[in-house]
Amino acid sequence: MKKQLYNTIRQLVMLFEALTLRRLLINRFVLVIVLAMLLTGGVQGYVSANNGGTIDGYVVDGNGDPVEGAQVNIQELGIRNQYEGNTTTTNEDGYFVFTGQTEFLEFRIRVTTENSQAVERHHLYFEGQEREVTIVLDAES
Amino acid sequence: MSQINETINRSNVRTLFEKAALHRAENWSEFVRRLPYFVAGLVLSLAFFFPFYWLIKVAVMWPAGSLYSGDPSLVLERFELFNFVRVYYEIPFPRYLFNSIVITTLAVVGSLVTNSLAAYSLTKDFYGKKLVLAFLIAALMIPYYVTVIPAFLVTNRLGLLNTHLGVALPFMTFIIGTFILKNSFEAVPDSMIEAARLDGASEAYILFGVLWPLAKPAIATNVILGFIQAWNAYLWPLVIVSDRLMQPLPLGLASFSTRFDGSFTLQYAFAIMVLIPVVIMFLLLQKQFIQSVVQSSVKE
Repeated sequence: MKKQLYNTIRQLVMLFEALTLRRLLINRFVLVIVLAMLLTGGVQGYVSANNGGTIDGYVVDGNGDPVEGAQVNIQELGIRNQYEGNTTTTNEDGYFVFTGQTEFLEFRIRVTTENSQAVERHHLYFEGQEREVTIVLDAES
Repeated sequence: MSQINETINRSNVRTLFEKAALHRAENWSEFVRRLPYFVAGLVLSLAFFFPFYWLIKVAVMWPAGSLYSGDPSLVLERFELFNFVRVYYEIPFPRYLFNSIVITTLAVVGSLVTNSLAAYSLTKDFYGKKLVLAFLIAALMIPYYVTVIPAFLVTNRLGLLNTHLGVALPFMTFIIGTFILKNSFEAVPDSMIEAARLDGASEAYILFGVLWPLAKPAIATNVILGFIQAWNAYLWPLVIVSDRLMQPLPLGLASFSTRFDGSFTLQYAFAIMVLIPVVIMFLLLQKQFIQSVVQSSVKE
């Protein structure tokens, strides 16, 4: 009985040995898993390097000239909620910046001047993604 | 036998393609003769593909409100992957995926081993074999839902509630798989098994070293059926998993649908994320799967 059991185990070990490392590692299943892991690693690396959370941009008029002193409000949009936003003002180049926006995925930017207004909706592909937007104010807006 | 089946299979497929291959028509009458086959094939393939197209179309819509605004359109107007990103951030998707992979792996490996052992024993003659076969076939008639409460009580007694093994346990054998393997093992000539035995092979070696390599299509079918069964399981995990972090993907999908009721773009995106591994698995094993189906339909 003991000998029989030993013989069975020995043969199963031999069977496993017959599966060479090459056959175990180089097959389409392993390749698909490796490819998926490489892709995931690459995406994670890219996300880690670009998650500063800066959303900036320019406000220009219909002629492309910068609009100074425009009120820019950014508001996070959830699936069903809207959160309280932050507001800033554009400088002489029409430039505005919001930093530390690391929990945004979807947001609304509202630009208001004395005689015009523009609203745009944007989304990011990961939290903290750095994004630059250009908002054009035209006569109708 | 497999060669004969392969020939039959290929010739059938070739006949269909030949009939539908418009570009191979040698003259105008041949072209007209083939046209109905081509059109019928095209319409059928579009009809089958349409639900998948709609699933993808809704999943890539952004913003979600665009689904309800304006005139409904069949055309894919905008392609945005944002809904997938939103789903990823709203739920612990990697954890659900991990749970599903562990449970499915346990179920597939377990079912391969137990089904093989059962199938190998059923290829032998022993006292009461017909009774065992009748018992197994009778067991097929018991509705799955009837077995849930006893299975829960057993799993509870084993202390396996809220564990991967507990979820995988009922999927570690299925009768159809046993019969598929039994048929495949029976096709192997006895002389080959006798030769292995004379060479000193143990029963375990005969099963895993001789019969398994000869029954690859049947094993692939077992893997696919076991995979689909464990991957799509909903009721059983719902019964025994109460910890949110132990939920597999289908359970996560159901709770997600409840939580975001009406957010179809997100629900469809999540459905695609659940579907992708099954599609990849089928693509990797489709050749063996088709071979196995053909083999089981034509006896030598």
